[in-house]
This record gives sequence, C-alpha cells and structure tokens, in this order.
Amino acid sequence: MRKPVSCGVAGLGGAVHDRVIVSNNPVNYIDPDGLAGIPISAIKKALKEVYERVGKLPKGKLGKWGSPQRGTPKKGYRLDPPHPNKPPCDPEAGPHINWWDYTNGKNKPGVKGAEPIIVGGLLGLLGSLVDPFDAISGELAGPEDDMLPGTY
Amino acid sequence: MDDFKIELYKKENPLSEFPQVTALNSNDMVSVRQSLSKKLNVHIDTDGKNLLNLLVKDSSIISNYDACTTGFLVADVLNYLELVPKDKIYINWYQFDDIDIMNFNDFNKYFEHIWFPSADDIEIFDSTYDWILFISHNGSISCNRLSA
Repeated sequence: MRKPVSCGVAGLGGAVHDRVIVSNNPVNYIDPDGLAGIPISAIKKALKEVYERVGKLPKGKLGKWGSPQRGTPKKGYRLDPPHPNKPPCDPEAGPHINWWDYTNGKNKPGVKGAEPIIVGGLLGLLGSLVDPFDAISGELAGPEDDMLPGTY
Repeated sequence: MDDFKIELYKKENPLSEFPQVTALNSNDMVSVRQSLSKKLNVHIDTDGKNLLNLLVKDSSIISNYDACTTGFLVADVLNYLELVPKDKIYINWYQFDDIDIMNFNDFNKYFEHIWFPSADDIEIFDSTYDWILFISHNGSISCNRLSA
C-alpha cells in the first residue's frame, strides 16, 4: 500500500468530496460555499501571477463543477473553491486559481500549478452573481467562439 | 479524451501506439445516465449535472492515495477498496455528456497520459454501476459505492 499522503486520516474517513456543481447559469455560478464574497482585488492579484504563466486566455467552457474557466484542457486556468482535505499550507486549501499549459508536454517543469487567492483586502467585494474573470477589467471579454468550437 | 493528449504521447513515444479509447455516442451516454439514475433511484431523465452532484454528495475521500504521486496506480486504489473492475471502464470527462470507454488495464497503465493534473476532474466506473471513483484535478481520490 502506498504511504499515506500529507493530510487526513488514512482510509475511508467519511470525509465528503468537496465539490458540488452550482449552476450552469452563467450569472450565478460561483460556489457559495467557497468562492462567493472573495475580494476582487485578491482574485486580480492571483490572476496576475497566472497570466505570467499562461497569459490571458479567452473564455472557455465552464469547469466541470461550475467554476469560471478560461482556455482549453490543453492550456487554461480555472477559479476553484477551497479543498478542505488539503493541509493549510497547500495553495488549494483556500480559494485558488488552477492553471496548466500542456502545449509542449505534460512532464516538463512549470506546466501546472495552483495560485492561491490571498484574501485580505476589503475593496471590491464580489457578490455571487458574476464571473469574477469577466468582472476584472473586462480584459477577457471579446470573441471567444473560435477558441472552443462546440462548447455552448 | 482530448486529441492533444494522444498527440503528446505519440510525440514522446514515437515507437509506441496509444491504446484504444472509444468515445461513447449520444445514445450510449443517455443509457449510462439512465443506468446511473436507476442506481441512484432518481428520475430516469435526471441530467448529468445533477447526477454528478448526487454521486459526489455521498462519496468518501480515500486519503491515503494521491494521483499526483509518482507510481500512482488506479489499480492499487481499487484493490485497496476491494473493487474488481470489469475489463472495460467508462471515463467521464464532464457531466456525463463526454464519456470514453477503454480497457481498464490500458487505463491503469497509461493513466499518466490520460489524466492531467490541475486541468482534469474525471470519474471512472464500469457497467455494474456499483462504484464510481472520482479523481480530482489535485490528485485527491474519492469513491462512492453505489451497491451499498
């Protein structure tokens, strides 16, 4: 048997999965349990780091669990709620943006990661009724249909 | 499964063939959703998004496995759970509207070329619909035993 990973009790501990789809309604798809109310300034800061990795990408299909997502399965990023099963030091323990770029292969360094959203500011509190990626400066608005044919 | 993964595999392994992966057609996916609905005792036309929510709600995290670790094998997880998969398994890529079927041994062997961390949240199950294994984008594994 593999050595237990860093968090939680080994085996079927009864912990429930931390993801639930919220809605396919594009104006109401932020997980109220994990993402609503995050200061937009905090998302912006994390997004800036993500842009350094993968650049700005056009709007893509919603994430499987309803999170806002940009790009494609090959290269993209997605706003994700906290994963309670992760240890506090893990970037996914709190709200975060997962990013990936598998353009040149899967097993190269720096092709994936999670950028934590450090919540601390009070400016621009974001409600649960907008896609924060859209709300940020409008920089992601624009023609996107050519990026993901067949989605939506 | 996204074509780019097979292309990457071929690029990195030019002398090796990627195993056969077959995408289910829409009728077959309806059948899968209906089978899961029956198993969950919900309306037969329950959509994929709601099925996913129902399935995940009663799943349990298997905390001693992490799909991100080197040498991770799905077979080890199933063995630990005392689950014996059928020869063919389903891979759900989205909300039961994008499903592949492939040989379990191939899936197990080629897992690192199929599941891409950070991007992919997938579920696997077989035609018994007795269990469903969730493999999260961060490597977390969860299971829902539908036969219980």
